[in-house]
Amino acid sequence: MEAAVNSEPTISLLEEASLVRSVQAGDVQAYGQLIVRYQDRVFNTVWRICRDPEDARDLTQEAFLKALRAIDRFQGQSAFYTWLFRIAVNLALSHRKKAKLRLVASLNEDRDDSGTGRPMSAAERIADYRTPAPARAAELAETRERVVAALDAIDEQHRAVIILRDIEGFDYQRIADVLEVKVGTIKSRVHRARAALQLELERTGESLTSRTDTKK
Amino acid sequence: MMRHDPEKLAEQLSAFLDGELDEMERARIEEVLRSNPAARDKLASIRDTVELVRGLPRRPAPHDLAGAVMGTIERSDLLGDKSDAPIHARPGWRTARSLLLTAALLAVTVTVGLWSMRTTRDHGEPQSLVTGPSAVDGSRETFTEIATEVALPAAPAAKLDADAADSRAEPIKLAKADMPSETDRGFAREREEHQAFDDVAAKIRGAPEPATTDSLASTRTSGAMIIERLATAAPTDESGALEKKERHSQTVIAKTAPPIRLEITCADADDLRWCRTRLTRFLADQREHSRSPTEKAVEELTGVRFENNARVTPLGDMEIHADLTDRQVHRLLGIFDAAPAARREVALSVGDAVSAHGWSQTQQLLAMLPVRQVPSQAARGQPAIEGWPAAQAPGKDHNYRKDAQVAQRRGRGGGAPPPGFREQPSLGAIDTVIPQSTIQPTRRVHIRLTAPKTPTPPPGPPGRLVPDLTKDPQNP
Repeated sequence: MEAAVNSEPTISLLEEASLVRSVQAGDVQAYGQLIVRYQDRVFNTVWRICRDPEDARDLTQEAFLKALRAIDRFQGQSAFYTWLFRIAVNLALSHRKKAKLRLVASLNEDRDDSGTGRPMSAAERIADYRTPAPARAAELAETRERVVAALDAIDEQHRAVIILRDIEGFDYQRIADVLEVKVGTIKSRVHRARAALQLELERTGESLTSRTDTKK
Repeated sequence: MMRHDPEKLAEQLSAFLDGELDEMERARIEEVLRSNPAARDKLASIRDTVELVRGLPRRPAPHDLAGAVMGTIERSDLLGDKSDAPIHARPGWRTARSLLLTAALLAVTVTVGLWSMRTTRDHGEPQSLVTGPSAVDGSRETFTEIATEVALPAAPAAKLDADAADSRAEPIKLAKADMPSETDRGFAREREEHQAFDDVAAKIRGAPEPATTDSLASTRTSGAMIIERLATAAPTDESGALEKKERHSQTVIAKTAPPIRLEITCADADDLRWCRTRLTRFLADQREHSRSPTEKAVEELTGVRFENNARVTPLGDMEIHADLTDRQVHRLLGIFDAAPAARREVALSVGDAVSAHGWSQTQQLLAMLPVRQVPSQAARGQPAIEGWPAAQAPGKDHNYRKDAQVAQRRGRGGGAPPPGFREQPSLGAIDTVIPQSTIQPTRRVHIRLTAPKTPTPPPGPPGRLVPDLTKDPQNP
């Protein structure tokens, strides 16, 4: 299900501020514009944290509603986008903590998804990429699956940091704003998260330096 | 040569890769990289990890997410839901809300007349409700304006098969669980509902102030009950007041069909969640395609959902009851059966008459239920199920409830149930009688989804009705 989801916000900060002011004045339709602009990124982040598309949908919805409820308290000290992400990431992390789920994709898992949003097996996800199946494409898909599995296996806090940094492209200051910690903390957290991910990848046989494919 | 703490160095390398070092730190790291091959290797491995993560596919938000959020916002705002403050607290919205509340309550009074027009396609906008009597002159435009802004949440993309046409033509009716043991309680409830309705009407006539949130909640509840009551239009009650209303209504449907109880024991927690999702979507789809525009409009205005109650326990088990046609029950079973988990089990009972266990028996039993019965069929006395009592054409004032009670007392049955089914005493009439209408009848279906917390227990005894439960969604 690859899609062109931009890594940068698609509206300027000025435009965003204008929309937020409209929402604070009571214009709900302006909030709809904000939702449309940010829903992909928020959803993708939440999904990467909690791993279940249905939960991600619910959490994303809840994040937008929560943000609206608190919109009057938003004073513009950070970008609305950052503030929204903070709400969404906190919701996702809380959700994970409650559920205590550790989904580890297995290539041998055999479950029928039927398009309902249940976590797909690795084989289904590979098929879902809809690439023609030359050896290289299958190899890349298998590598991606291992990375996803490794990402799922690490601590949620580490996963959140990696997602915000390496997928969403946030700088350390923004990540610190989202997670409400100091920038120095983010610096060490990013390092530890990457180290944990590397360790997990090595454990599952994904060699990083040589990119050698390991057959099961 | 400088000594470097490996951990600290790795952290600096990570930040260097991200461009997060200040000028002095960056210069220092560049010097280290020039002179230290191990540091270069470490940087390369960090870079590779980052590249792997960046290469992961992205997933866009569901196409109806924005619509769903906006729908929730608008609906809760119209109802003055405090949990969605502060938007609704604003003066402009408060005025609009009070006008809408007044108009919504009036809409309830005209629903009886509009209900008879349900079979004709009413493609009117919500403004059509405004054409009824309005106690607030001058508010009509505002009401219309706001009503047109109410956006229904985007209907989930439903895969409609050939049967969808039937479900679209037949609105789902709510029905009370009308077992003989609840008759007296049911009558008492009806009387209370009528009294509540009269109280509400009196309030509308007499009270100049807009309804508060609390009274709105009770008004909504009583309004919902009234609408439900009129929709189901059960047979005569003691006072006869309902019967009078029903005679004017073209949509009397007898509720002698025994309820179905469906228990699905899922394989595990993930399977339970899957089943819950599918069930919820199925019911939402059926509801969405069966509701008339009038019903939808009234729902949007009053916040009263003509729907079913669902309860999800902290463990993720779900109990829900819905009024479904037998065809819809077939389809629902088909959904669960189409993607079976090896350890998912099913049990089905119809009233307290017959029960079936396992997918095969369940499908057989369902296949024997009447899918459709029309007056002409009933008049010819054709049996709904082979060997079971034939349907009888009712008279205009036929008391169906009494029929079911008598049948139950006499244990009238047309013969032994099919082999393999467990027979229960006091077999009642299982066929459904439809007077004066070709609308496909519905029956109350209680559905329970559970997952084994311990090694799979055998399914519980059928026949126990699930009481109405307050909707209480919880995370698993």
